[in-house]
Amino acid sequence: MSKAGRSFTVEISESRCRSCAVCWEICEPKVLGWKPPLNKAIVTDLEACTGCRLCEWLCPDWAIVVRPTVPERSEAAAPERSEAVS
Amino acid sequence: MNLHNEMPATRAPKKKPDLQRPLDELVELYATVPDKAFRYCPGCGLGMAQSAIMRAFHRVGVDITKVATAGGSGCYSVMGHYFQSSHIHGSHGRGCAYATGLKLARPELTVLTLQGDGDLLAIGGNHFIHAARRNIDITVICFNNYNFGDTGGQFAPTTPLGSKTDTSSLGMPEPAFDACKLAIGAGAGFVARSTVAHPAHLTKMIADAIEWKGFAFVEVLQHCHVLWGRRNGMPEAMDMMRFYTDNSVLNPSRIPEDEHFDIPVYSEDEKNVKFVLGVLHKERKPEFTEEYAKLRAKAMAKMPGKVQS
Repeated sequence: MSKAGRSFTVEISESRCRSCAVCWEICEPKVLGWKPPLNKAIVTDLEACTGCRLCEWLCPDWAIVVRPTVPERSEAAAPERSEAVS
Repeated sequence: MNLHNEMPATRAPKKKPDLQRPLDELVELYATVPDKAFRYCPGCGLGMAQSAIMRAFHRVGVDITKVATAGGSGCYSVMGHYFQSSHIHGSHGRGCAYATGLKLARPELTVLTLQGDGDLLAIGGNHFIHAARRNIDITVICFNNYNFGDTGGQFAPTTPLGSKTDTSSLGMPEPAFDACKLAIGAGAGFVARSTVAHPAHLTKMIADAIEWKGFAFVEVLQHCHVLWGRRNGMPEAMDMMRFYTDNSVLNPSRIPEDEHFDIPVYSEDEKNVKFVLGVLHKERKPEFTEEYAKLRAKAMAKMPGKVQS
């Protein structure tokens, strides 16, 4: 999880990736890496993702999707509110 | 009569779309992509530019069924088929001609032409300057990769002076074409330049061009690391992306007079290349489809007997 308290999931489609190396070179916190036989992009350190979405915007084959996950804070807050209502 | 006052400043404002939408949701709305990869080379800037065009559609909030694109031959020519909009895949260089006809026949459509530098400036140069002169409400997007990529990397009118290509192995002896200056000189209302290494800026430029009423021209500097970059010491996609970010100046108004040059010049000793990015020219002019409708109404009024509007 990044410092702002938001976390992200990075999905990489292995069939679309053609190992052009743009995503892992542009990724400043080194979230993305590569797997040796075909050098396809993989997620190495998801915790470091800041959600800048540069990889998603610049992937020439549209293989990467970055999604914000729901912050834990609101998940914890939701049952409390429902209890208060009931 | 002051025509400038009659023109609306912009089109009707639409609700602001969510710009942080994930890619797969945008693809469902605007694009039809194949199961595997695109037709471009791995790492090609066309995929990035295509992504920026899709995000520009989302930013403007266009109805994709009311969008039509036109194009000719080149590396880019499959791009029109990857959107859900209608596409004319016509003969080489005639994208502006198709777009002019389409816009006159169906003025309610948003018409774009997707063209490469060789297509737009070498073969279709005449169609381009006359579409710009008429100031018809189309958006021309030029993907400038400095060479004829589809046919194997021959030099094009936009190849920078001194750079090496397949057919100029000792260096290009001719100065390059500046597409933006050509568009300004031909009378285009909106002229902008951006690169694929600045994706948010590129998206904004394309969105502004689509919203502009009149002829809008966007030059997209899009790398070809496989053919042009390999021969000029930049064999990877990221090398050329760094080349663009290192040599570009974002705000044209803050550049001193003597450093303001747009035609790239390339030499091995000093990479004396500077791209000025951003909106380079804005000018309100009477738009051709509206003027033509007025002319048509005038001619109808003069006709004796029954007149159908």
